[in-house]
Formats: sequence, structure tokens, C-alpha cells
Amino acid sequence: MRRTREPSDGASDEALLAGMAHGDEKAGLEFVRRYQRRVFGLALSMLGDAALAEDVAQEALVRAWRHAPVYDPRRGAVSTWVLTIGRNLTIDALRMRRAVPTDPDDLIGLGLLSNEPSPDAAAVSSDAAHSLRLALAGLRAEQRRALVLAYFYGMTAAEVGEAEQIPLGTAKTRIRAGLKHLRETMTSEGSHR
Amino acid sequence: MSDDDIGSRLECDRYADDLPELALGILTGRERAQALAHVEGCPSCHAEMEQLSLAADSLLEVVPGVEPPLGFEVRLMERLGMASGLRERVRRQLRLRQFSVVMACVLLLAVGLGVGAGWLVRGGQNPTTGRSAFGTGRGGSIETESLLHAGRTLGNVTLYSGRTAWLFMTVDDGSWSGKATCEARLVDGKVLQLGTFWLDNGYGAWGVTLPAGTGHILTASVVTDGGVLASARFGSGATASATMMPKPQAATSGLGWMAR
Repeated sequence: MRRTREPSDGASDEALLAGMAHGDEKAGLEFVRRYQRRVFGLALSMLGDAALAEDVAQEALVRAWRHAPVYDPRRGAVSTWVLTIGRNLTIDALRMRRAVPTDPDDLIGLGLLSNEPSPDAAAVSSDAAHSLRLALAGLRAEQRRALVLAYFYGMTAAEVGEAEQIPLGTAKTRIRAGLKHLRETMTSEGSHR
Repeated sequence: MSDDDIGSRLECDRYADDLPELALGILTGRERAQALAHVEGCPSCHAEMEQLSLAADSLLEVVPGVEPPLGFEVRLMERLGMASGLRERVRRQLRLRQFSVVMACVLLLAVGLGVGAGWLVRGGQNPTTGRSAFGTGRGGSIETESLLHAGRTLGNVTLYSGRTAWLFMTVDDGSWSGKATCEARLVDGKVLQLGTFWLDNGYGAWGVTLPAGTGHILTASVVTDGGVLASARFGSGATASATMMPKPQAATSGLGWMAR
């Protein structure tokens, strides 16, 4: 008997999702293996609790699997889609279980500003990831904290203001300035390539 | 500039400050509804909003990955109620990985003890290199190479060259079931069939104590009815200078022992 190759060998994320949408379990397994480190890493970075992070990561991958048929490539990369599911579920977990989130400074220090290359970030070239880290490093510390609180913890401007003990207007300004700085860096990087 | 243009511009200015919060998904209630309604009807704000969303989502890409706890995949398969066959396959892979880790630890321990014993036998003289004594003071070394098929790694082969030489392989092909033969090609061109073992859905681990005076192994291959499944090449032509007779094993034909 001649050996056969796995149908999912080297398949793109989109191809794996298409396979999952048609009930191909091997494609689903390959997809899980491709993303489990990143989804778990994201949940763990935000929660700081491995057991809860596993629950959240599993739920995120289950949802990605079940919702594979509705993935729309026009709305963004597969990696963004999956990680956004993970982020939203982690925010829900933080709210529902009143879990204590990782201190934003820890999240920033351990992950976002790390110079270690992220081996999983295949969707983003190392240059782009490096530029992004530089852009984050270029933000004022209070802008970076406000951005992390808003994006990773889903805090509204009012909640950021409360957490940071600053007026609402100041919280809005920090969030706005932080995100616009990132956007400008990305736009500028894009125009130089 | 027409009155409509001026009105539209004023409208954009009014919502400009809300766009970052909208992109971050933290705008709520009435503010969110009004901002969304404007963005949907305004191409320039829509484009700005997309750029801000891209910038926000890029933050996800720099969060480092972390290996999930052991058994993560199996638990996920159970949660998904996946076919028992695939679930069992994942379990087998997990067991195989665990077995390989345990075997690697045992082998390292054995080599460490051997080096230590050799050092004591020689009266406490410093071993010359990491490839020094194994029991009798003869040189022994461990070499591990990947089992490759068309550039894809399907497992690995570890070869210990020493007084009692052995070979251990793990195969993780993922598709083929049936009998497989381990074949060694020596540097002088001679081909030896070292034994057979079973692959179950592509997975198996097998080891063998090498016959005395096996010589320099250049490649170790897994061969099935369909031909060579994968091969590992030992760069230096590892020496398998066994002086002991192989131990017969009941679980497989030939000389090996097997992990199931």
C-alpha cells in the first residue's frame, strides 16, 4: 500500500477553514495545532491563570471550528479572526468571573514589547512585528497602558479613567493618541515597502 | 464648497474623536449607534475606521504564543465530540510523545551512568570528550537525525554507537497503517534489515539492539509495501560497534522492542 499524504499538508488557513466547514476533522485538527499556542498564549497573557486560560482557549477554538462556514476573508486575516474570538472570550471571562486581569504593565513588559521574536506570528513578517513593537515602545507609558486596557481588557474610556484615576477626557485622549500613533506607524511602514 | 460638503465635513469632525474607540470596540450605547450610522454612510470615515481597526488588531499579532498544557488537544476533541478514531489518534500521538520523552530521559541517564562508570573504572581520570567511555572506556556517542520524506519530518532516529549499540525510532506519519521494516544502509553500501514493526495510523516507536559489528550506518529507513516511507541520514556514518548479541523481543519480528 502506498502512503498517502495528509490532505491538510501545507494548506493555507483559509483552506483549512474551508475543510472544517465541510466537516473535515483532519483539517480541523491541523487548524487547532496551528493556533492553539497563540490562542492559549493570548488568554494566559491577559488572565495570568493557566486553568482559566485553557478553558477560554478551548472555547475559542471550538467556536472557530463551529463558525468556520461563516468566516469572511474580506473582513480580515484568519489569524486576526481567531485571535479576536479568543480576546473577546477572555474579556467575557474577566467580566463574568470577575477574574483579576494581568497588570497591563506585565502584559506590556512580558509580551508586547519583548524583543524576542514571536515564532507563531507567521501572519505578520518579523519586520512588521518589530515595527509594531517599536511603535508601542514609542508611545508614552500612560498612552500604552490606556491602549492595553481598552483593547485587551475591553475597558471603555470611562473605565480606563476610573482605573487610572484620571478624568474621562484625559482617558479618551490617551486612547486616541495611542491608537493613532500605531496607525501612523503602520501606514508609514507600508509606504516604505 | 457646497453647503452639503460643509455639512458633511462638520459631521465628520463631530465623529472623528469617536472613531478610535469605535475601532477598539469600546464605544457603547447611543454614541456607538450614532458613530456607526455615520461611518456607514461616509466613505472617508469608513476608510479611516478600517485603518484604525487594522492598527488595533495588529496588537494581537505581537502577543507571544505559549504551549498549552499537555492533553489540551485531547480535551478539545472530546469537547467537540469528534469521531473516536481521530480522538484516539490524538491520544496515541500524546502517548507517543510522552514515551519518546521518557525514552530520551532513560537513554540520557544510561549514557550519563555509563560515562560516570567509565570514569570510575579508569581511576577517576577526566573523560576526554562527551563521546568518551561507555562502560568499558570505548568511545560511545548518541546521534539523532530526522526521518525525512520529501523534506517533511515524519519522526526521528536515535543511534547510540558504543559497546552495546542500539537504534530507536519514532514515526509520526499520520496516515499509513501496516507493517514497516527498518532498513539500515552502511557506508560500504551493504543494506541490513534490522527488523519489522507496526504503524497504526502512521504512528509507532521501535527500537533494536544492533547486531555485533554492524559497522558504520549511513542511513536508517522505514520501508513499507509502497517503498521507502522516510529516511534519516547520519552525516558521519555513525559507528554501531556493538560487541554484544542482540536481545530477541517478542512484540515484533526481528530484534526490536516497540511502544504501543
